Amino acid sequence: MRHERATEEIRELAALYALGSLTQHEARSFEIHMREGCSVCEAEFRKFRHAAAGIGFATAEIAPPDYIQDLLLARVEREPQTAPEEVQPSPSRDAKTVEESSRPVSAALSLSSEPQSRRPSLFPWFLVVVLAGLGFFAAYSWKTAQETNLQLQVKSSAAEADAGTLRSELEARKEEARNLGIILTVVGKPGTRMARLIVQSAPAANAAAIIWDVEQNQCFVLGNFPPAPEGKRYQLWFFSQASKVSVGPFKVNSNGPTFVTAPVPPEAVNASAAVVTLEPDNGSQIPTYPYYAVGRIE
Amino acid sequence: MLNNEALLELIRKTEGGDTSALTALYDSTSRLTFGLIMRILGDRTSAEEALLDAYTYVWRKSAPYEPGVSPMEWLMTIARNSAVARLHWSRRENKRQEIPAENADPAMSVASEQQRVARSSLEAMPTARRELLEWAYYGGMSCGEMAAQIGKPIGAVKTLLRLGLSSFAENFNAVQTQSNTPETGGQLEARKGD
Repeated sequence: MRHERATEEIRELAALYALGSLTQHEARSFEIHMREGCSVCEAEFRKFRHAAAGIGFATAEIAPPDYIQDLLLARVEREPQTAPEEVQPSPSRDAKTVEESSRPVSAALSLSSEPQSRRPSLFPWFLVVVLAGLGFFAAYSWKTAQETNLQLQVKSSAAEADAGTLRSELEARKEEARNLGIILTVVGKPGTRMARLIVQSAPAANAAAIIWDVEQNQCFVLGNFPPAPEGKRYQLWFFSQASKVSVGPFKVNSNGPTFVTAPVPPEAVNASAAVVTLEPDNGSQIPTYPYYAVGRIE
Repeated sequence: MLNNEALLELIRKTEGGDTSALTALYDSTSRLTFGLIMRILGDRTSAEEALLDAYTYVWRKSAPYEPGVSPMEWLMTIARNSAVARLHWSRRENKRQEIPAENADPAMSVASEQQRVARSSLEAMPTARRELLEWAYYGGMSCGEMAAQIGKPIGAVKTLLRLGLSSFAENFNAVQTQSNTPETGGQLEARKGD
């Protein structure tokens, strides 16, 4: 239904839609209504859209930190632009799916037709079964003894392997308990600073945390890092407005959470952000783009 | 200081894959968009992430530029949506940081006239309407949440919001129309959608 003139109800809907204050259902209905060609509602919405956008101009300007621009460029370098229509299902994609899904069916049909054309005689099979039976009886006793022996060996090896695994797990748990104790002690100290590291690849995700024991001039890197690529290793940096200080390269635990302790250089005392990069094996003097993860030191 | 035509050109080039245009667009506009995002989120870490998201949307062409709006309004809408989306899954309790407003040189601002008009238009409104408008715009609050907050029916909240936005639109659009006329030397282009 198209409106002929703007009523209070239409103005209210348009205003609330422009402010983003309608419920999802109401907003969707209003969008559909406008898409159906109601020029009255469209005009009201356009008027309020300018006003709603205008409210944002009332805020004070704040300069973002310089490194945000670096991060933006690093992110867009990794993210090729995509046209909006690419996310919609395309006829070609559907056609491919149909083609792929039909492939196993045709293969199955061709296999099922083969036995009908080449059915073998039963006599050769009978001879094979008799000979195999004789051979089986001749080897039966020897095989039984061998199998029993083999089973015992397998069980023994499995028990040894289990014991080894349990020993490793016990050591790992002890290590984790020690690390947890250290973390609890440091976190409880006044003046301890922390940073939540955010991986910069899309979608952004929590990767790790930095706990900085300012009193002892050391920091702890905690989190789940994927193994570094061949010839690379992770390196931790502390950024301040004036400098980018290397805390040093670190190795990650490929079998579980990483826990690394590193001394913090005195020149990093004013750092406000922690950055993890992937650098060559021997480390780097300057951080290399793209940054792997970034976090503000609180 | 860039005018609308220059901003539009930067947006077009950015959408075409020009990273230097994206850098220039960011340099010209990020103080304004970051100010808005900080006002909405109140937390610097979340705000930095929302700012990155907003300009990444521009780069990805997730919300292609619509000719009916001014480039800066379009950018501010993207920035606002990015911040409100983040606000809804990380409510800012106990995280709000007071960031001092900067004494920006109006000559350096990309939309100093719009800023002045928007502020005076908000200040001219009755307090109750202004607060509701700010809750809706900066707080991303639903009508139901606002109704619960002020203890009034949802219908009353909707009406107050409509009246508030109407009176803001009246002031904001009127002054902008004046500043768009050639006699006043304004630099905002006339909007094709109006």
